[in-house]
Amino acid sequence: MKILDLSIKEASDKLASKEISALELVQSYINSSEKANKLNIYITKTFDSAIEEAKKSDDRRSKNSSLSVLDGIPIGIKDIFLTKGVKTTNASKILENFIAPYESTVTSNLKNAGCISLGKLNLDEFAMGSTTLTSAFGPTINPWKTDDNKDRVPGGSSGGSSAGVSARSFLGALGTDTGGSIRQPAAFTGTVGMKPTYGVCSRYGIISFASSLDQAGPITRNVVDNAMLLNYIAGFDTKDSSMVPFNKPDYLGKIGQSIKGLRVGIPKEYNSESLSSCLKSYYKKVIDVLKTLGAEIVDISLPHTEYALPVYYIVASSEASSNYARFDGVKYGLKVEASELSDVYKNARSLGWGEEVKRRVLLGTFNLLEENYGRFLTAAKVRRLVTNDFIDSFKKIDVILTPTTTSEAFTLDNMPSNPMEIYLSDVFTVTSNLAGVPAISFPVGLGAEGLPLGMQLIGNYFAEDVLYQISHAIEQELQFNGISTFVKENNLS
Amino acid sequence: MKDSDIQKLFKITHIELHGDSLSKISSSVVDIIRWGEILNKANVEGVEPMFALSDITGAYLQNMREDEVIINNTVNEVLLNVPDKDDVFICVPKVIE
Amino acid sequence: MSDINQEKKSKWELVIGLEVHCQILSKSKLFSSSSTTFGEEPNANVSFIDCALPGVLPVPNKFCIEQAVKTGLALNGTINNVSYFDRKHYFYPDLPFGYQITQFYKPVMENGSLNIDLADGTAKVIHIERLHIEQDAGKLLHDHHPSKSFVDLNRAGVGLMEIVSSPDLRSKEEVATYLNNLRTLLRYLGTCDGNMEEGSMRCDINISVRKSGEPFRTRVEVKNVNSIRFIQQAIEFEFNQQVETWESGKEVIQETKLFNSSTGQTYSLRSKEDAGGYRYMRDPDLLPLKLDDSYIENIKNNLPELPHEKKIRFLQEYKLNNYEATLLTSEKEYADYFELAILKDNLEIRDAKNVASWITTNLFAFLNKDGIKITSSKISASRLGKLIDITENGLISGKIAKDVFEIMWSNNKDPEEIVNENNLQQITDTGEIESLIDAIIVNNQAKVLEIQSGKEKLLGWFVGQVMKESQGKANPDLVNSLLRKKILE
Repeated sequence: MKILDLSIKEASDKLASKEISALELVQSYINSSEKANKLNIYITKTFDSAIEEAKKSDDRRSKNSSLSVLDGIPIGIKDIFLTKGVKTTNASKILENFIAPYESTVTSNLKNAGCISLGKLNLDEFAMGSTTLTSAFGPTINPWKTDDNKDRVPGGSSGGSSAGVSARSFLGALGTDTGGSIRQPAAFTGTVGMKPTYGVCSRYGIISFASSLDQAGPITRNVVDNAMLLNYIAGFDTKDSSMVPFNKPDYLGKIGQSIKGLRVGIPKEYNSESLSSCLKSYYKKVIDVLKTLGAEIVDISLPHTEYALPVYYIVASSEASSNYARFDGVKYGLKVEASELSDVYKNARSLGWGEEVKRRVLLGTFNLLEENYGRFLTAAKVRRLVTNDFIDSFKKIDVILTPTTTSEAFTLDNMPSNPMEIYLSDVFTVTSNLAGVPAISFPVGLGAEGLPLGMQLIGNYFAEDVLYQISHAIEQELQFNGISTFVKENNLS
Repeated sequence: MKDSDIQKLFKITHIELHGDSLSKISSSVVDIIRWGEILNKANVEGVEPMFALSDITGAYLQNMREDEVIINNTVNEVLLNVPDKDDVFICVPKVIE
Repeated sequence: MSDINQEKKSKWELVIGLEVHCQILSKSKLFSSSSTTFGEEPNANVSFIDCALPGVLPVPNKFCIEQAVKTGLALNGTINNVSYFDRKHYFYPDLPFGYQITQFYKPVMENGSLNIDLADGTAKVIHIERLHIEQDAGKLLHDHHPSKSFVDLNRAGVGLMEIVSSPDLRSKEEVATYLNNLRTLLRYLGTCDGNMEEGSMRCDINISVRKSGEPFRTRVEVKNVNSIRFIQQAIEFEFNQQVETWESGKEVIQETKLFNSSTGQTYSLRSKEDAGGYRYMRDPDLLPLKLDDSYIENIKNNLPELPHEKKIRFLQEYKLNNYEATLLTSEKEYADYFELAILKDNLEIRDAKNVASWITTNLFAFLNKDGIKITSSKISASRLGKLIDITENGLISGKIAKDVFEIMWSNNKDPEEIVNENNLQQITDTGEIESLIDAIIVNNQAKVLEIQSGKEKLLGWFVGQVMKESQGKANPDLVNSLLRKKILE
């Protein structure tokens, strides 16, 4: 047995039977993380405290007082979650030295379950991007290489999370998803990423990007692991008054149940021209698998899909420009000598942020100007149309299957200079954020260049358990070998 | 969109740009704004705006606090990251109204 | 300005609307659990939420919402079943989020009114356009350091009700009355302490002038004035300046101004929100505020008696005059004291007019002198009642009653006890009074003759002498009738 081969479920079982210790497990992942330094997965490593926590976990275990099935499981945390006493940068110079004085609800849920954080993970600056190239602390490299040995991006914005799971730097990671930031990096790295229904996970302690779209979620090696983490991070929180009390199911509950008779919608609008031929054939393959498993395939239409991207960019940038108004250099942020108040603002925001954040703050501010309020309002109206497409569809079907991305992971060096070209690649993911429905990305195989590809299942509100059920059934059929190039090269399996 | 409109945005957002960055960001902002005009094609007559999921579900504020004073933090924790502070004050360059 | 002649001025009419910001009385802030206590150490009442740390989220205070609804109902307004919180953006160090959470698009209350009583005894209805809930800002201190301003966020996030009137006010006197009546109402409700010195009630004034019958002209907004005197000064200054501007053929421009209390003048504010407007948007961190009818009804049914109703009741039930009724209902505590003081132990009612007169003259004078509130009065309402009783039943004279009152004020004793200890009982023994009278008559025969020859006014002098000899204790009625008998019959 190689310890790094164990999934969360397997590691949890072996911890329970005391075949392995938390210290052993954590130490193995620390060693593995150290080997991955060149991938630039972490912004801040907390290995010392992880060792201490592992010892405590073993201690609890020996007294039969383990906190949960996750007690002793090493994880990584996207550096957008505030973690008390630890630097929380949001991958930005503006928060380069920001020490969080409190803990986010989601990370505190995981820590209360006994999970052990190895550190804070890289992301696109302020979660704005799909590449992790916009991080102020350098790009993260995808652990998967092309067949001809070229580096690729791990996706974004949760690129440190996806790359770290794929590189076996930890067993699972927390990400956030505003327009695809969990699912797209999961697709690019052969991992499983879940964006839950809006309101399933508390947003308290997550640096807001777009408040009405943001959701936290797990990235893991497989579906079961993902459900195990969601079981602990989900739940009502009185500190987030935008949440509504809901009945939290056991997210593992439906896994293993037959999917026979479940109705899977295939939206005609998502079979777009821009889809790579590889993805087209995998899309067909997964539909065939579903048929084999007894699911009913239903052709559907989501007629307002073409508007989803512009709506998303108006809504997300507007909310972001407002949420980021607090970054004025007064209460926290870059310390630059200034003799005028306006210079304090200007220095913090001009020197503290990179181009992408500035671009979106400018855009969002434009949208909120009184004279452009009509534009903002129109976007909100079209958002309802996009959402109604889903609501109408879910009267006839249980889930929707689409590709997660239009292509394999982008190259690092040859990125389009026009940011809109990158924006367009979010076309399959933004809709579920706008509607607030849950969606999962899971790996289905390797593309022409040897890079992993992902499919996305979108579910009805609070139907995360159904998404796990179906994606698990497909996972079992496809038996995708998710071992990345980096893991193979470094003998981490 | 005129150059003065862009300049106005810089002023409001307190963002200063120079050189390549300035032209690159300005032109992309203009492009993206123009791209958004596709929404004018959508038929939104009689459609209520949706600002958040609650506008669909009808969810409302029920998660409110009782009126109790709870102190979870010290002044030092609150001011932990203040770039310029003097004792228990946050400082800014003198503002003259 | 002084050269504007009265004739010119008299052609112009003031048009004023007020936006009054009232701090909601609550223990904790509107969206955080920090204390609202005034006068704490700087930044002592500041939580992670109040200083807008990344990741924090607002959680509304149920009680603040209730307070606003209560106020809205007392202002006869319509409480919206659904209202929303919006963000109003501007950069300033006293506004940690870079936006204020307010209710711009749909406030909690609309279309209310407040009756104000004008000096001439008539009443006027002032329309209230809206009441909305919002956050207060922090404070900047400018004189702690030569080159820096210091930020104190204790006030940041305290709940405010902004009460916006229509431009229905026509004079600075009406403005003062409106503010006083509003303040009284809020204090009755317990939703705001109305303390203008501590800034818990602040005022933005929209002022324009017009010739009578004209539509409205351009208005100027004078922001953040915090005393009724200053508000009146600001109005007067603006009135003169605007009349002068129009009269000289120029135009008043719409702008925001501040008031300088040391010069009594208003001046243009170099706008801090100028360029981009406020960029209002729905706050995506907060769900819609939904208040169902039963919730509203319940608050409505539990509203206390309001000042206006109380005054009418005092006029009708107790037959007080307008002055007394107005004064006694101007603070809920006065009215409470009054209604306690008129109630006897056996639940019978004392002479209300007499009680009212005791309170509005003697008691208020003593409270004023010691600078204390009626709630900490050194004479309780029931003791004042007893004092009135022993005066009415003749145990002491009205003049002695005032002395007893003064003693009660200083030693906190029961009035009867004081009377007994000091032997202050009224002399009602005819023999005793007659002997006093006889002595005085003997010594003043000349005056007696004058009275007998028709100068009856001089009887008063004899009354005075007798009272003086009895140290005020002789029953004046008895003295009077005995004197008449002895001199005139």
